[in-house]
Amino acid sequence: MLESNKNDKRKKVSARDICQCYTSEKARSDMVAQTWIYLVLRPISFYLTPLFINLGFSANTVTCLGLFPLLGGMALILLGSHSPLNFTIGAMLVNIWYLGDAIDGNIARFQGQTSKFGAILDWLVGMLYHTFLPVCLGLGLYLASPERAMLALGLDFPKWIWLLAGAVRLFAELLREVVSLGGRKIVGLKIVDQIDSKAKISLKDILPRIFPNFEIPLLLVSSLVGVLGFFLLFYTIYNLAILAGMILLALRKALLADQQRTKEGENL
Amino acid sequence: MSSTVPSLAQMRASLPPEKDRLDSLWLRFVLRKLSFPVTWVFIRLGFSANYVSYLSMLVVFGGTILMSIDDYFARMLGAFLFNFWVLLDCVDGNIARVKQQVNAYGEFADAMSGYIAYAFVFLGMGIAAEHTKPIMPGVMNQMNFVVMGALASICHLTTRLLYKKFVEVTGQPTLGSGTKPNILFTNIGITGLLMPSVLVSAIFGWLHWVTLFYLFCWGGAGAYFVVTKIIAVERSTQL
Repeated sequence: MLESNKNDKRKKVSARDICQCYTSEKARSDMVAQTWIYLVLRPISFYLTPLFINLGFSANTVTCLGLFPLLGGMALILLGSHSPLNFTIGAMLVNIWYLGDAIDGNIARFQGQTSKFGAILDWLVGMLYHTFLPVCLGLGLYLASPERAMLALGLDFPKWIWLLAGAVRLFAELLREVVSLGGRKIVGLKIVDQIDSKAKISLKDILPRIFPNFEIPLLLVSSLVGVLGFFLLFYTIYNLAILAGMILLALRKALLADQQRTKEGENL
Repeated sequence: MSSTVPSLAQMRASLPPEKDRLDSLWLRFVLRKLSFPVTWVFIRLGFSANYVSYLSMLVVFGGTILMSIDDYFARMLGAFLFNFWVLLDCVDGNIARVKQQVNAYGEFADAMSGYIAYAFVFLGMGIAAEHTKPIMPGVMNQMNFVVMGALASICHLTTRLLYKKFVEVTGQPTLGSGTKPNILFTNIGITGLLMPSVLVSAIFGWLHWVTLFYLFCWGGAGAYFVVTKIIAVERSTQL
């Protein structure tokens, strides 16, 4: 399939070609780990991907192009004090970047370009979102007037809380990634177990990941409704809870691994 | 009880020469030497390696809180606690080796203590610098050193994160032990030059310079790392 894709470079690529490269394993992983992409963005991306391929864009180029809506969106969120519309347009741009994230994956699979470089680049751009968005949102809300919907709900927080929430969330995100990678190296196990490739996916698999999966569309919804402050606070607390859970889980796995090793030693 | 407490000579002997050689100069010639009698005291008090790791996390938190207080002696004590954290970092390793308590749990607890220090030491230093900064020329006077400290911390964590991600994706370490960049980073880093610098600058009110130095240091290291390693991965992909 990939060989024929490479050979037929001159042939116009269609949405059906892209769809055929979307393996059932990838669909399963999307369903659990990127539910919003699976349900909404992936179907849209099938129609947009041929456009980029026919224009000669590689997966990594699309990843790099995605930096424009992402950085532009975060800059507008930072400048939310100038106009509340900046928050909404910024959130829209971030959603466009997320759509681009689905498109570059499609291109990589279609052209057989999945590489270590692409994986690192994709991860780096994703990290940009995770580290800078909380800061931009925190600063934007700090500088802007209180959101009307939040006031209507009787939620009148002091302004410094947005700066604190942004900073705490940023540290929680960074520490979570470091702990996750460190845990994998030291404990030798994935802290969060992977979904079995053959097991039936149930709501039990999807629900624990529902909040991070719907974070980006919820950013847009929150900006439209005017409850971005609530969005920031919620995800700050959520990330702190996940960080704490991850540390405890890693320690437990390490403890179990040590007990197992001791038992094996005794048996010998 | 004393029969179960290893001697200082046994503790020194338990330290692999390779590990000692790769440590920073500050750690190797000052804190590591101090750590042996301190280890003896902790073992005598019945502390396990893991409990020392937990204690070291509290020490970092305590140091950050003290550095945040606008008082000369609180800052001094905070700087001292940061150094004490590095000392405890040696102590838990010493205990684990001499008591043969080296295990995955201990290693992870030790790593956690490190991650907490990476997040909080620069932040604490930045807050202290904001309290003590003198009137400076031009743009520097407008700088908020809490933000600078937080940025230094973010840069440090991000560089570390990039390193770990790179190792995971490529399956090979990027900075081989004993290479020049590794020696440089170890000696400048949190267990190296930073610790005596924090002590000295807390005495003389130079914390703003140290904060700025580490912001540029880790910011530069992160940028250098991203550029060089991305190029390296791209080249290896093309081959």
